[in-house]
Amino acid sequence: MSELLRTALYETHKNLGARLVPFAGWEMPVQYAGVIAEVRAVREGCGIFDVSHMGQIVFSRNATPALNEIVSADWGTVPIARVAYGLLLNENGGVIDDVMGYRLSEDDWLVVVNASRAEIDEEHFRAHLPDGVQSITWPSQQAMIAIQGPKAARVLAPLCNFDVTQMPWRDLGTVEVCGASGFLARGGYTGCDGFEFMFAAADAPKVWNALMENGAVPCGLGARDVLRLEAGLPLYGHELREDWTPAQSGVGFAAKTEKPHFIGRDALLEKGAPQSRIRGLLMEGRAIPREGYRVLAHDGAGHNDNAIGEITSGTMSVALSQGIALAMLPVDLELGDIVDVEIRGARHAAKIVKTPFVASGKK
Amino acid sequence: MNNPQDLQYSRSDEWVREAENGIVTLGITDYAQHELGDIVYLELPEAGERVTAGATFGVVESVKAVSDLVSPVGGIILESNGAATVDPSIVNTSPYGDGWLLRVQTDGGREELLSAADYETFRS
Repeated sequence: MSELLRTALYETHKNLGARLVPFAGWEMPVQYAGVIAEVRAVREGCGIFDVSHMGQIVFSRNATPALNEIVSADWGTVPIARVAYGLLLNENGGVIDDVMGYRLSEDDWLVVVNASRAEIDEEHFRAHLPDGVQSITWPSQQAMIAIQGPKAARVLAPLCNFDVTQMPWRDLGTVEVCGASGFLARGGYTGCDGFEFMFAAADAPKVWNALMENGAVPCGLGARDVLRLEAGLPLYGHELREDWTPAQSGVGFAAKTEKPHFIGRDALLEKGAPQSRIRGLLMEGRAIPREGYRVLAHDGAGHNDNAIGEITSGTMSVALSQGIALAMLPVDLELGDIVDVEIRGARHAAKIVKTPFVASGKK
Repeated sequence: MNNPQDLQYSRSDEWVREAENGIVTLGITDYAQHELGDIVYLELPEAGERVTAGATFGVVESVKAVSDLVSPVGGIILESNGAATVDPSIVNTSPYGDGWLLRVQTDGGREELLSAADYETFRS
């Protein structure tokens, strides 16, 4: 059995009393003070997350047209020093992963991918990049910290050599934080304002500790998952899968079929409108929906227990004190419709609602 | 770890407090609530229902995970802690006090129960 990888912040997490768990081959903090406290800290103030485990690949030497052939979004029109969302699709138009592209220059990109898909994504890029385009994966040389919450700018600003409070959303810059130089982007995965900093691993404990001294609360993967779900954001393996097209998963906006070519484009154009897609569900009672639970048509008499869909992600929402879920459901269901979630053999009503479940606080 | 001396403990992390006539109160241990993290949901059977030693009688959920509750004893439920189902966080803050789960009239059937010292060794 291979050993779990550790980020440059492993000792820092241990000293903070973090509960460490295996995640995508890494030993990562799932919580420190507790998931509820951490979710609230982000929504009300500032939380920091170690996301150094995510895959980071730098593409150089005329990378833009090459990436544009592979990624579903139109990265050719992304300005320099901006961050863009994109999808890697297979030949059937199914989603291999969702990725963030940081355009460093005319020809250079840093692409951040999910830790659980890093190897697959690298292989996918390798198989499709033309000769001449260079790709280098940064495994342990780069740390990445997400700083999230309405107070993120205030916590971070005093540590920077640049006025980050004025950075526009999705902008990117080379910034020094506590003297550590790296790429800082305004963005995040929590539905709140925030930043993501990518920098040399050796500087990670210093930067993390300085952020904490300024009021940032350490937050783990448990809180991160609740926050992104409350924000209605998809996660690979849950809402994004190789069997589902972008339109089914609510990320059709990232598949720019007007672009003349990218992997999977033809398959998407051949497919008709989807018959099912990801919807938000808000439970009516106290029971909590969980990934994999079946969704049934609402039927007070309980006669029909054929599944009409399934829960892809579910939790108790900290903000709403109510169960929330994302589920793959037939397209003919409308906002306000009631369905039944099957929980341990019993039916529990849920309403189809708009996402995000919790209002966005980002700029 | 906090394990009151006057209680007995199961290997599935429940505690049992004996009263007279075979009536017991039971709940989950401090170790269990700590492992679960923030408890947000609790499903308990009602008074009058039966529990069986070693069998699942309900569910406790943290934000992230679902966990079965296993009964250390067999018998009839006299009382089910409604306050805990309404506010499951009391199981975190007071697992041996206000966070009790069931009062049961036992009528035979017990899992092997440990003393506080033996449970502490078991869970160290």
